[in-house]
Amino acid sequence: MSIFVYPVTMGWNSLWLVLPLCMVLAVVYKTVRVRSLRELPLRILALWTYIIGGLVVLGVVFYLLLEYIA
Amino acid sequence: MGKRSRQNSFAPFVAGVLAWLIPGAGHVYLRRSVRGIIICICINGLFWSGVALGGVFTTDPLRQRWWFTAQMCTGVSGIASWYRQEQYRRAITARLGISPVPRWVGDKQWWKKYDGELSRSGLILVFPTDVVARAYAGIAGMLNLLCIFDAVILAMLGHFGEPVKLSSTSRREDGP
Repeated sequence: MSIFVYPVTMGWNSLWLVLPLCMVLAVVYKTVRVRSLRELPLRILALWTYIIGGLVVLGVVFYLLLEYIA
Repeated sequence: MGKRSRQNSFAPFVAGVLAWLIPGAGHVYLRRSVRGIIICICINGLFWSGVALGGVFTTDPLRQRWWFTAQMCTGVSGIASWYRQEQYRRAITARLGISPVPRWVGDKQWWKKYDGELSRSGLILVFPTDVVARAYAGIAGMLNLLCIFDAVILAMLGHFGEPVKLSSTSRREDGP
């Protein structure tokens, strides 16, 4: 299949691909860590929000550093 | 914690090898099937999404050794991707009439011919596809490493099966 052979062309709009990456990270980490599987969806959502929120904050901080300090 | 069963000295080794070969298989072996299936879908899905984005040269032991090491932690998926990459690399170098690997890392002539052919055939990874694809496949491997450690430690402690329910007063609170 050519999809697994040739690379896909991407632009800067590919930044949204960080969302599924963080989701998988949250799912796997919480699947290993959580005691009861019933808590899993809520824990995943919370961790995913923390990661995305942290990345957004980091992005804003670095943007401000570059714009106003550097 | 999980039900303790008879101590089996091979259990940590078996759990570790299974967890490496097929992501999630270590947890299935420890009778945590639902967790194992979730891990299997997520890690294999992430790895093959990376390969789908970056193509056959997402796995590249010659140029991206650290990413390659991480990718190999996905077991069978990583090995299958490496095998495909090797087939393509050997076909390209045979077409060019050069050795399958450079004589030394800094063999500029070899790299020039090789990169030229990769570029002509449309197989070369360029920014930002290379970063996204290798991050997907590499992080899948690192996540599986976490699952391997978890499976080995649970097997060492003899924790087979899902953890038993604790009363609400003694329940441990873990992070977000």
